[in-house]
Amino acid sequence: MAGLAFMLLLALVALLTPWIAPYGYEEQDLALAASPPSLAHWLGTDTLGRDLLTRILYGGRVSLAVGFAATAVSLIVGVAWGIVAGYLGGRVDAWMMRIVDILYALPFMIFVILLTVVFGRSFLLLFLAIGLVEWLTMARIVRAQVRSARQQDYIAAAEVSGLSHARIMARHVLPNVLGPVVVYVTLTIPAVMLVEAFLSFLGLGIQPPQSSWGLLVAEGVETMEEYPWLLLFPGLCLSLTLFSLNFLGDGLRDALDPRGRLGFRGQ
Amino acid sequence: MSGEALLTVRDLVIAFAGSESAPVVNGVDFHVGSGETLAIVGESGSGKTLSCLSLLGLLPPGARVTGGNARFDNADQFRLDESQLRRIRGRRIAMVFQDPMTALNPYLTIGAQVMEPMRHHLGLSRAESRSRTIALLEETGIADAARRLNQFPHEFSGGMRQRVGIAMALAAEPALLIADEPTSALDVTVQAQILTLLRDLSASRGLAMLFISHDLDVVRRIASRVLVMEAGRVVESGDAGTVLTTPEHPYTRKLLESLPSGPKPDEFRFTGRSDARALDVSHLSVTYRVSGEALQAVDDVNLFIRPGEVVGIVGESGSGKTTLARAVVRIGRLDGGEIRLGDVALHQLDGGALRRQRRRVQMVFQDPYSSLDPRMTIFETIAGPLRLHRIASGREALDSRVRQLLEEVGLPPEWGGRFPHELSGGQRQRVAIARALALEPELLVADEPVSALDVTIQALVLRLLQGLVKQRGIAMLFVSHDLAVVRQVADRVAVMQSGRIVECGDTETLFSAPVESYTRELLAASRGVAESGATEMQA
Repeated sequence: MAGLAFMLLLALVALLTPWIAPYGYEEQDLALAASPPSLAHWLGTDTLGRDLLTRILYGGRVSLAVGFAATAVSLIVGVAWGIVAGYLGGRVDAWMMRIVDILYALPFMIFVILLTVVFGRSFLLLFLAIGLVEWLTMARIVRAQVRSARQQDYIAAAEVSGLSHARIMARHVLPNVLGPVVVYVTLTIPAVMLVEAFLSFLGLGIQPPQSSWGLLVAEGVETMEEYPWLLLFPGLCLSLTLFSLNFLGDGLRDALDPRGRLGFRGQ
Repeated sequence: MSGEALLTVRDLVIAFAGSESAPVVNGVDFHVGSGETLAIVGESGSGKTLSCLSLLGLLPPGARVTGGNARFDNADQFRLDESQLRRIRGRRIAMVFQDPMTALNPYLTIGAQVMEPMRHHLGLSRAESRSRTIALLEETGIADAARRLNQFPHEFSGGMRQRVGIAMALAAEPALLIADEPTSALDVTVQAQILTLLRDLSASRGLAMLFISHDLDVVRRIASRVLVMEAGRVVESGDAGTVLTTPEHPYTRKLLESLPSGPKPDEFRFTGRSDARALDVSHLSVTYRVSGEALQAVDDVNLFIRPGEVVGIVGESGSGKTTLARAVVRIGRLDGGEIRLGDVALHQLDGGALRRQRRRVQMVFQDPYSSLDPRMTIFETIAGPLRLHRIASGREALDSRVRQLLEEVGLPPEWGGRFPHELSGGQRQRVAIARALALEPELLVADEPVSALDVTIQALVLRLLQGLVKQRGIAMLFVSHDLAVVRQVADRVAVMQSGRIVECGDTETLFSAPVESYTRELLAASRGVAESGATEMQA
C-alpha cells in the first residue's frame, strides 16, 4: 500500500511540477552556485547555481515518463512474443527465440547511436530504443513461464472444450503468467531509468539544460567529494522510487492471485 | 510385538503457528520395535506424514511440535537441537521418499549418492564405501552393481530408482526407516517387488519401519501392526491382521469398504444395442521422436465403444494409454489411423471444424489440481464452454445451468463463486466432471480420474461418474493403472503394452480367464495384493 501511495504521489507531483516548482529549471543564480541546502534553496543548488529541488522535480517528469513508457513498450512486445513462442512451442518457438538471441547479441549502444544518427535525437526515439532492448528479457521470462503453464491440464481442458488457441492464450495463459511479469516490470522501470541516465550521459538522451534523475546522478557523481548533496538527493529519489515499485510489484502480484499469499497447503 | 520398543511416541501434538484452529496432529501415540513394521494409514490431511517428519525435525515451515515426546536412543527426539538431529538423520533414522523420480539428484551418479551417507556418517574411506555400496546395491536387487555405480538416475527405471533410494536410506545402517508412500508412484508389478524387498530387508537387518500409506492393499502385505489416523487423531491401532479384518472403528470400516473390489454393479452394466458405435478407432498410431529415434507410443490400435458402454484401458506407465486417450480427444499428436465419432471423421478435421465438434468428446483429467484454471471461479470454469458453444447464454440461463450441473455432481449449487484452491481434491474432480458434462458429450474420456483421490473419495467419485454416464447414455473411455477400479467400472477392457493392445474383451471374462501372458502377469501382481488380503479376511 505504501508503494502504491508513493507512486501516486510521484505521479501527482510530476503532473503539477510546472506550478509547484519554486524556480525555472534553467534559472541560474551564479552567485549561489553549489550552495548547500538552505531556506531559499531547500536542496541546495548545483555548480551552475540552479535550484536542485526544481531540477529534481523536472527531472522526475522525464525519468518517470521514460521509465513507464519504455517499460510499456517492452511489456507489450515482450509478453506477446513470449506467450506466442511458449504456447506454440516447437519450430515456431525455436525461430522466435533465436531472433531474440540475435537481438541480444547486437551491441545495444551502437544500435542506439545509429538510430540517433539516422532519425535525429528525440524523446520518442529514446522510449523506442530502450523499450526495444528491454523486451528481450521480458520475452524470455514470459516464455519460460508459459512453457510450464502449458503443461497444466487446464490448458488441455480448454482446448478440449473448443476454445481457439488465441483465446486460450488470452484467457488462460496470460492471467497465469502475470505474477512474475508484474514483478519483472517493477524491476524494469528503475533499470530503464538508469539506461536513460547512461544514454543522456553519453549525450544521446536528454540534453542539458533539461534534466532527468539519471543525468542529475551522473552530474552528482562528478562532484561527489565537494558537493555531496548533488548526488545524495537525486540518488535518494531514485532509490525511493525503486523501493516503492518493488513493494507495489509484490502487492500487485498478491492482489492478482486469487489464492492470495501462497502458504503451505497442508499435508 | 517383538522385544522392546525402539521408538515410543507419546501424546504428539503438532500445530501450525498462528492458526487458531485445532492442531493438525493431536495426541498421537505409537511405538515400533526392531524388525517390526508399523503402517500409518490415513487419507490426505490426516497428519500421518507430519507425525513422521516431526521425528527428524523436518516439519514444514510454520508447523511445530507443541506437545508430547518421542523416546529414541534414550533421548527425546523433540528436545534435540539441529546439530544433534543432523547426527541422527540418515544415521539412526533414514527415509525413503514417495517419488523416486525426484528423490535422486539427477546430476550425481547413483554411486556417489549412496556413498555420501557412508562417508559422512560412518567416516569410511572412498574404497571402503565403494565396496560397501556395491554390496548394498546388490542386496537391494540391482544386478551388475559395480558397473551401474557410475550411471546417473535417468538411466534407471522408476522401480530401480526406488531400489537406489532404499539403498541410500540404508547406507549408514539406520535402526529405523521411515518409508513415505514408497510404492505409490510405481507400477503394480514393480510395487510388488519393492514391497517384498522392504519386507526382506526389515527381517534380515532387524530394521524397524514406519510405513506411511493410504493404500490398505499395500499395508496388508507389509505391516505387522497398523495405526489408522483420521484428522490428526489415532482412531484405531493394533495387529495388522486384526485391524484389517475385524475393524472396530467406523472410519477403518469405511476405508476398507471403499476399496474397489468385485465386478461392475449390475445397475451400471451396459444394456444398449451391440451394433451401435459411439466411437470407432482404427489403426491409430502416434510416434514420438526421442533424440532422433522414433518411439511408437501408440501402435496400430483398434477400438470401438458403443453408446452407453464403458471401455477400460489398463497398462503400466509408458504403455501409451494416456497418449491414446489424448489422441482420441485430438489434443495430442496423431500420426495415422482413423477416429470416427458417430458419422464424423474426427481425424480429418482441424481448426474451426474440429473446434465445433469438440463438444461431442469431453475429457476428465487425472490431476484435479492442474486441470482447473486457478484464476477462474468455478462458475467461469463451467460456464465458459457453455457460452462458447451457445448452449446457454445470458446471465440467468447460464447461472441456472451451472447450478444444476453443480447439483448433479453433488456440490452445493451456490459454490459457483469459489476458486479451485478453496476446494478439496475430490470436490475439484467433481467440478471437472461438471465441466465435461456441461457440453452434453457423446463420448467421455477419463484419464485416471480417481487416482489422485483418497480412497473414500475415490469410491464416491466413481459411483457419481458411473451414474451420470449410465443415465445419459454416454460412451466412456476409462484409462487407469488400477485393475480393481477398472473391473468395477468397465464393461470391456483393453490391456495395453508398449503402445499396442495385447488383449481386449469382456471385463469379467478377461479377469477370470486372461489369454495373454502379460495380462496374467498384471493380474497376478495386483491380485497378490488383493488376495493376501482376502485370505486374511477368511482366516
